Amino acid sequence: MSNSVRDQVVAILADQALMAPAEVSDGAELADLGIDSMTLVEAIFRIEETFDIQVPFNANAPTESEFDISTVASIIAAVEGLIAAQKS
Amino acid sequence: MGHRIDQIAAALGGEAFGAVSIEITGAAEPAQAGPDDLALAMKPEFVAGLADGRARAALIADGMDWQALGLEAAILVRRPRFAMSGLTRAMDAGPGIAPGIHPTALIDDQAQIAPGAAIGPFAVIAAGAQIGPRARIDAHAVIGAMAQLGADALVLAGAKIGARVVVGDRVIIHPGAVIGSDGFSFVTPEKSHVEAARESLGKEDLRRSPQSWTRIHSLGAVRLGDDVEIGANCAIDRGTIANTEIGDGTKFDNLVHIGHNVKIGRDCLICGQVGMAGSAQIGDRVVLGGQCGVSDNIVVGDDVVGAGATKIYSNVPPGRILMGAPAVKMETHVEMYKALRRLPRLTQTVAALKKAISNDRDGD
Repeated sequence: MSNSVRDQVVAILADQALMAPAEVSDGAELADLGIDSMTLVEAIFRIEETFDIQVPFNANAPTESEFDISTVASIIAAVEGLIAAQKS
Repeated sequence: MGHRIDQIAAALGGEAFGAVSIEITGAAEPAQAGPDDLALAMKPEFVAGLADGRARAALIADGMDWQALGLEAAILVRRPRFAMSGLTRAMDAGPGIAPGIHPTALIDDQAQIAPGAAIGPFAVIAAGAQIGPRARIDAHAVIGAMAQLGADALVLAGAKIGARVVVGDRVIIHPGAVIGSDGFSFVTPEKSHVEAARESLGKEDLRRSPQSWTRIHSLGAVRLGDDVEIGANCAIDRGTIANTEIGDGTKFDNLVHIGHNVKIGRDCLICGQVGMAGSAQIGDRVVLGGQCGVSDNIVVGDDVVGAGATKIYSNVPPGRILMGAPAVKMETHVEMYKALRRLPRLTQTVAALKKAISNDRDGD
């Protein structure tokens, strides 16, 4: 499996959603994947640990965070942005 | 026994459409429904199943087009989950307790049984007990001396109601529950090491001479308000002097333990394996998730919600949402959890920084 940011984020989300990575499409919303708020918190920690970044999220109001969690694609984009910003 | 569509609609506060005189005999998920079942298709993901099943009538949410779904009749409801209450009540076959008093039931001559009460096989009703009108007592249940059971109360198999316990109207007590066990209350002749530990918050002191525990008897009983529900194998201790009290409308899940002198308000929901130590006071509408714990002698305000496994060690103001052990505000707990999860990487960062600093020094 490739080690692109996309594939790793999808693998983390798929793991939390108890799905195969192939079933997680970029356009999917977290609710489509059955990921609720506490599962999302766990997924974000996995993302932080995998990429050694700090994700600015507010678990009590996820939609108000700077970290856009509306779709799988938006999460991937946000993670790529954070990697670029925090690794520089 | 069949139920007409219009009767069911009336029972659950919904609106009936189409062939409202169709009689149905059961409820089913749409895909499994037979022609005499009411298909439960309130959620969009279940609607598709109607085509796979053979239901003629369905319960659907407000705004769905019943004719487009190919139904002969439909019940529309505004709040589907609330409608489940009326629907299940109408279709509940019940515990099957036969009317009247079973010949094997042991009923003391001094007990008072109101008209319409049903008492199952091998039930025991002690002296002075009062059983309310239409109350139902299942097999092997025990109602202790001088205990009172309200109208339409339901005591299921093997539940035990202790002496002098007062149970309100329409209360449901599930199998195996014990209402009115003695309080866990013991004292030593001299101050014990437990009292010393509480005062010093943990300073050890082994100089005390050994003492045995002496029993404090429970003179109080338990009072359950009206419409209380007690889950299977719960245990509620009686009070030391006054009663342990559970307010009207409060519901317990299975395996809840309530210590002596606890007072719980009305309309609370107490989930499985919650434990409350003696003399705790719980407000109204408090909801405690599974395995929550409440310390002795503390006050939990009205409308407090405890997430699962929250351990409450100190007083809680009204309306607070709690999580964790020791319990903190839920939002604080999430922040603490975030910090905890980031701790390993923080220690790595600190180690790297220390190394960088010492390298700098070496380079000077």
